[in-house]
Amino acid sequence: MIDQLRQTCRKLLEEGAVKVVIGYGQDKPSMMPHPVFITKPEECDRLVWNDLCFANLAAYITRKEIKALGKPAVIVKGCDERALVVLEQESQFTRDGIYVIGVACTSLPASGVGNPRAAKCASCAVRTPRYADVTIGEAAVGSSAVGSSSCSTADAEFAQLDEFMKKTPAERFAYWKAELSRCVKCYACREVCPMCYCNRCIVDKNRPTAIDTSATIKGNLAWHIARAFHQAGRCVGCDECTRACPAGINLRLLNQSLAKSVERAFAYKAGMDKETPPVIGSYSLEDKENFIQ
Amino acid sequence: MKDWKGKNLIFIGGGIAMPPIRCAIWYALENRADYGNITIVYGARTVGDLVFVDELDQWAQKERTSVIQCVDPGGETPEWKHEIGLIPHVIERSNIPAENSVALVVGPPIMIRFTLPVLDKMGMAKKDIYTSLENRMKCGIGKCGRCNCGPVYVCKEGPIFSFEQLSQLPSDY
Amino acid sequence: MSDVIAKDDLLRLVDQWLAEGKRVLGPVKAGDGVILYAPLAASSQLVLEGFVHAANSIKEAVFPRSETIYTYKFNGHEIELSDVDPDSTQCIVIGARPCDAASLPVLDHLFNWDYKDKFYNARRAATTVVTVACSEYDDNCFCTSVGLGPAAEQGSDAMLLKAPDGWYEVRAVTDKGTALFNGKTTPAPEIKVPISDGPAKKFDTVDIETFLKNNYESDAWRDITMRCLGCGACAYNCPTCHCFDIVDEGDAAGGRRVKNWDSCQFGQFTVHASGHNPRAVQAQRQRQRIQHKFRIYPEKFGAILCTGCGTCTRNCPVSLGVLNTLEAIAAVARGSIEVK
Repeated sequence: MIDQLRQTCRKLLEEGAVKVVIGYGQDKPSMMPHPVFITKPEECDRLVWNDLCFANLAAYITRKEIKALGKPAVIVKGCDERALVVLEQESQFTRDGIYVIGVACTSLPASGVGNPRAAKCASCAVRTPRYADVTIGEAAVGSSAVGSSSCSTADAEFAQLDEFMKKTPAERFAYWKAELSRCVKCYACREVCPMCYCNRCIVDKNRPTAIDTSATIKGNLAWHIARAFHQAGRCVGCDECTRACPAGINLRLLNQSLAKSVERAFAYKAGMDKETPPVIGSYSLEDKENFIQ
Repeated sequence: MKDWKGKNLIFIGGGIAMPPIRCAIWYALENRADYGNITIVYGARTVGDLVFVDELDQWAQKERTSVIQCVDPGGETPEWKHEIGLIPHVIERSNIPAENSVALVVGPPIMIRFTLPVLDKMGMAKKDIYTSLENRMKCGIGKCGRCNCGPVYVCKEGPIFSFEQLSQLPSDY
Repeated sequence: MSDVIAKDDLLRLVDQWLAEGKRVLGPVKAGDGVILYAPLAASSQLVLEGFVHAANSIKEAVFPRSETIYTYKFNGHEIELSDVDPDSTQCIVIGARPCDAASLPVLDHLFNWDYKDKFYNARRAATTVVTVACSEYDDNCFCTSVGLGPAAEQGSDAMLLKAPDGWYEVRAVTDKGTALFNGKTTPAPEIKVPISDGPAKKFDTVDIETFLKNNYESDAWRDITMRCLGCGACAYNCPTCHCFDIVDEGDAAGGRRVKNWDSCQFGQFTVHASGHNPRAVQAQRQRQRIQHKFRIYPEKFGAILCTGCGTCTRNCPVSLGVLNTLEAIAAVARGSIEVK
């Protein structure tokens, strides 16, 4: 599979179809696989593919330093591709301006040691990318090879959330206060997120300041609530924020809460279907809220 | 400025740089006998962006003092009777005497970056060209870590630098 | 002559410190199992072993993430300013790694250069650091490359070394450390805990400094740091990173002026009022971080602004951090990687 991946990328670069391949590399065995930017065909042997390729490379296609390299080919897993779908719907790139290389998740990452944050994989419904220009590999037997855009709120996906929602509001608030008290505002959650592409984030606006920049309970709640609001109906659940958080804050739970609310209210799952208009960017005469009609 | 007695002075200001550089101009004019020729070059993006224009006209009337006003191409009005062009270009074509001169350059970093080499080319010594860096500061006491150009903390060791000093520093300004 | 303390007695001592009203900071298991230095409520939270390094650092003891420097009140058109006293609460850091403690003497230079920072110095004077010498390390550790090691004593007031059968050897390093364990240890001449060699040396700081001096504009910066996303996971958890922001937070009645951690990796960090940014791309910001640690700080204060703890690399979502960056730089310097 890796040979096929390298060969595909080599060919794209040789033919000049793309200027850069955004893929995974691993400079030494002790490292987690990390993003690499391959611009020469002979460097394609640096590319790797394994169960630890968590990074969502879609986050790079909106960055100016990467755009400056020219037309990219980007390697995406099924979950990452959902981010591309949303970004395209939000006009952050044009589909013919990038080449999408899909990789099927041929096996599940082992949970436990080394992969404490691979929770998303257990309930994944998109192990094979659906809109890629080329897809390499076949999803593991027994998994849903093709993503389904059907929505089911009783999904195993939300098991952790459903359990959490059984708590009283006071208990839930106490939980979030404890979780968010660890936030130091390093903004790793924002920077890894493909959806956080604003040139100037609301927390960086200081004329006037909208949100306290201090990493106090007030400032942290304000930041995470603001972030959640801006992710509602857009977050594709790639869990990169959760993986990136040095303080181990359970952002996945917060994101799931948003996702479930959107599914319940609008029967919509972000990035699952290119043809379904994004819930935040669409208007319907049938909307049940009076204020919008 | 006391060290510059007997020298010709060139004041170069861009945009909102006139308020800070104006103090130095006043000082020179109040001690007029101490200095040689005084040249004031002041430019802005548009005519509307120029400040203290009435003072510019008064200064132009003083002895051995010349004032060059300019606006960026496109920033002029039909009544504009002064120069049109970017400050470095205007200086290049204006025959300001470089000999025995000290220049004070205040303005946005992009203007500074292009103006200093022009003065150098005119034959001025790098040590006689002074400028002020605009680096962002938070603490002003050499702690918060953002105003540095390489090893130099602009808040503590600047913000006034000669072109000679700047040439030794990385271009983080 | 060694002095030892049983782990149980050590934990009782921690509870005693808490009972005396001292702030005690130590490694605890938080959230999904991540180990963080945090204020303890009881000694039972303390995790002394079984991990290489916490995901953050102890700098919060002396340089909190957010600290009020004064408050203000609006009285009509008048503004009333009030000083805030520095926090001098006695603080004990227990279970720090030597690479954490070593950051304190390094930070002392900055906070006492020119203006002496009273907030930092008050906390520093009130803080006693008890380290645990490292018996294990991982691929991201590189203390030995920056002149430290598994039992380096810089910044420690006392050091604990894990002895067999639930004992710790206690080595007092300073008077503060001696006072803290006075009468709490048992002499045990037969116990002398051997010290591990630590990780193999991974680069030579002289080579790095030479590269940094001669290659400010090198394309290597762009190539090496291309994947950097520009978050502050490295800087905020770094024991030596000390950059901060100053902001006002308040309402129509008044508020406070507060000093918050900041990171040179953020795009807004150096933006001028005009909108011009001298460090407009991520490569320039990464270059600043490495230059600051391995050239600017050593030139200015004679100390490397890095203790080799590897926290930045462990926390980096894209496996960069100081170590991987420096190894890549060393490869470029050796000529084994071609710069595009």
